[in-house]
Amino acid sequence: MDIEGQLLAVVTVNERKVIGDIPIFLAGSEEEMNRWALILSRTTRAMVHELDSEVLLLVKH
Amino acid sequence: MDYRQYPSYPQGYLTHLFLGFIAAAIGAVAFPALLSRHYEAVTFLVLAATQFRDIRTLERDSLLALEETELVPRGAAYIEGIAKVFEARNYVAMFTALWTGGVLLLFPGRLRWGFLLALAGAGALVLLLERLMSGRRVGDYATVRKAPLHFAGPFLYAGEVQLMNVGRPEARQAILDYGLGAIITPVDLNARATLASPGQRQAILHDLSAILGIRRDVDEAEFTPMARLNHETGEVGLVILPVKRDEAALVEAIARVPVIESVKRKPTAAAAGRRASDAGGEWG
Repeated sequence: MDIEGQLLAVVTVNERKVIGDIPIFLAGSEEEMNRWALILSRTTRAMVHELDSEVLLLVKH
Repeated sequence: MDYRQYPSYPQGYLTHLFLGFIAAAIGAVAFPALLSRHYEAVTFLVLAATQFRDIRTLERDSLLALEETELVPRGAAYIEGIAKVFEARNYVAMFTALWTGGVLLLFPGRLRWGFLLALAGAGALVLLLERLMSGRRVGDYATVRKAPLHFAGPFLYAGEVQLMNVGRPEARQAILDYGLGAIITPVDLNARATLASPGQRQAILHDLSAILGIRRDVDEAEFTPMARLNHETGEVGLVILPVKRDEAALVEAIARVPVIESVKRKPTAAAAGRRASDAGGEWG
């Protein structure tokens, strides 16, 4: 069975908020964070969720 | 491959038309065969029933195979419902032929009256069975109204019902620009339990995207249509980004979605369910 609701990656502008062994993309600005999230979302077909204003999650549903 | 979209599927149409003919032929010869003491005819009826079950399997397999290519999948519950309808139609054909054949056998001498009776009876049977089979629609179980979409932080709401967390600001704006929201309010406890089924909600979303079109491609997860429950009231909140933004059509389309046979729930048919319903007060 496919794993659903899996966290694929995190895009953030604040490296102190995320640790772990998943891909973590450290963006220079919130604009860059949003643009990266868009690209990652389209390429992985995952959904972008907001954890807070500095952390975006890419989740495969 | 929807049963309502059949005119655009001449191949599928033909397949089922001819299977219907076969069903009718089996039904027509059943009485004559039995009367002439050919009891092995029963074997053929059993064979036919097996054959019709295969039709259900055939429809189910073909729709399941298409699921991956759908922008908004039907869901297993809807597919099972559609497959059952295909099977049942063959029984209608067979039963009607059985009736016609039987009546003609009973009135062999006065062929004209027998013929008329058989014809009228067959017509009435088809109408009656079709009516019995056509089932209920969401509009019978709930009131549907449009609902404004809004965001609280990243959370998308249709009216008071929270739907999903949308991460990107541009996606939120696109949903507000192109999306439509609706609230489906169940009329009683039975309707509430039925609408809560994920299978029924998926069927609604699939039908909506088939009828209104869907402004979404395979890599745009943010624009997935979504139907979520409000646990306080049992209401279902819904968002879709249709090709044509027509609120009246949205409400109409939701109300006309069939209620899937296999997800229909009737908790008030049980004593405990009735107690729960009475205690709740709200559902009277």
